[in-house]
Amino acid sequence: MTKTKKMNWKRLILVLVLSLGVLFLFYGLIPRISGTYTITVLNGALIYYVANIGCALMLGQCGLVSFASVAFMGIGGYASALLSVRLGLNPFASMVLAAALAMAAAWLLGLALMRLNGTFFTFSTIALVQICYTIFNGWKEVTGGPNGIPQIPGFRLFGWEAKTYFANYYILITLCIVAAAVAIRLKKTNLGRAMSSVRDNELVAMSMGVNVFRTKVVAFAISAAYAGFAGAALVHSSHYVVSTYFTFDNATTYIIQVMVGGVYNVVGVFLGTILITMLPEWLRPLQEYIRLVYGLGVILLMIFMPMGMWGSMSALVKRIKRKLHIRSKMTTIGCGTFAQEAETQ
Amino acid sequence: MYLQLLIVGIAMGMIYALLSLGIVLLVRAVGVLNFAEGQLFMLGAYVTYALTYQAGLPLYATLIIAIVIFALFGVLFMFSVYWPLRKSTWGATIIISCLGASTVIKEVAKLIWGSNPLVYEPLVKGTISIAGAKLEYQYLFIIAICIVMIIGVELLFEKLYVGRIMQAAAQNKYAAELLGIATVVTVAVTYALSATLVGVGGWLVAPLFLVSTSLGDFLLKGFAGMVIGGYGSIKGAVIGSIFVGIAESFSVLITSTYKNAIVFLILIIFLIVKPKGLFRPKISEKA
Repeated sequence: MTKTKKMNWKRLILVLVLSLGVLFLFYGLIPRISGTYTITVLNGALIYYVANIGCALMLGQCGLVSFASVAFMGIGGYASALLSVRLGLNPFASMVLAAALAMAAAWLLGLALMRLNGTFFTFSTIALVQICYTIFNGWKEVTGGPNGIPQIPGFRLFGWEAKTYFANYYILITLCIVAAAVAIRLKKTNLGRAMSSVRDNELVAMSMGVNVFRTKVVAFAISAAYAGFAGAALVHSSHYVVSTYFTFDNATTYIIQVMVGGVYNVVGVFLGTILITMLPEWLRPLQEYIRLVYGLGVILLMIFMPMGMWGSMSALVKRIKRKLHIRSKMTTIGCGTFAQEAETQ
Repeated sequence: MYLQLLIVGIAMGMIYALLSLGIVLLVRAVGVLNFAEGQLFMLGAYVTYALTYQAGLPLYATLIIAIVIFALFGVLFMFSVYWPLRKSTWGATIIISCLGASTVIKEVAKLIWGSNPLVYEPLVKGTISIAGAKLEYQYLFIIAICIVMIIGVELLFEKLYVGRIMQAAAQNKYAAELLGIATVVTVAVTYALSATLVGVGGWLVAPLFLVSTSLGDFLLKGFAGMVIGGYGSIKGAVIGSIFVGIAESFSVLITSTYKNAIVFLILIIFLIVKPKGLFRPKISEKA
């Protein structure tokens, strides 16, 4: 008993140190060392990251390939833009409302679409993206069509207003950390476990009393809420929204970002998002070959690291540990190798 | 007016049918949803453009060389995107690598031919007037060529021995290998066939829609047609695609802004009401 308690302390300290380090990195170091341009690009990546967590929830946790997050980003983005421009709502309030709206839309759609299995569901999400894009582009009275909605208010709170990219960065990174924390917590809940069981084997999940249909609908709605939130954040940080933000091409980019990093882990998703967003910037000297290299890179990554960068990294760590005969602390308290396996998987 | 819309619809439907046939063949043979099919389609337009205008070849030579290029490219595509991943247990990896491949093909085309749309003269110039409405001959030409190709594919799979071998390999790879069928070859042939079908499709639409990288977007309509017709069935894919083409063409009567939305709305309605599509495939979906 005391031993487990001791280990928990160690773990707690480790988590504390790690999170302090992460906080220092994101709030102290990165804004110091990066210029305005990098921060602009980084802001984009952070927004995508929020949507991608939702996407990873569907893909990694629930095993459903969905392209729909870009459609819900659009719904959230336009909703938040209209609420703040026409009704003069505070951007933070309109963001929450937008996320709720996207969630509600996804809930309703999910009730219909989740009756389809596997590939058919994927197709229906593609159709959804197309329909939403056409509406965003065509409904000129509301969405502004190809001209978009200009002059959307930026983030403001109690008289303070985010005017620079750096101010936006601090807000976005906070949103990201909250979003990631919620996602990590969600995994440990009943719902999270239900989702994993649906991913691994629907039949078994059903026989264990998991309501498969409802779990999928809820997962879809949660991922849409993430996407709607991200869409709203995108709109308020760029002060502009236009239909071309929400094309099918962007949807494929998001899926790639999620897969490249590793779907099972928020850190992996973060790595993937940053990598795919920053890649064109880092490869700038290659000029027009950028997208080509990017495409080739994606293929090679899928061939050599099918589980994404995070997946490969944890597999590597496991192998090194095995080579060096380092045992995880779990074994010493007698939980046996099963716990160890479960930990590393 | 209606007749004209109908003919345009059928012609576009035939083009979608070539695309969805290309997808269906791969779905049946290897269970892979090829998201790069649209780019192969686009490549078809570019390759024939290059052969006709940049190499200055006559029509028959263009066609023969183009088909050889398509087939070879299909095989190359298979060995680079499908083969290394065939044993992957995680289905999404192949989808992602196909998405990566589609970016690569698009970028290569942009590097070679530039990003400006290119003009491809129609093979049969002029217009025909049907019931007071003008219609380009190219539409009729598309319908004729597509019918020939679709019947060809149907014959190949239903009547010829080679087609049976390919079907056997598609149905059960393990059993087919036990019978001495080289599944590598059948898969490669399927990829070549699929690339050829969509490549010719690209050649056919080039005169109607300028040769540009946005031709890749046709893929989504092909998907829609395939799903409406019945996932995995050849006949279904053709009929579903023609249905999509006609629906798209007639939706102009109601709205031109939401044309795409109507097509995909029909798709969603179909998915909900009749998720298995109009025609049941002979081979059930691979899990």
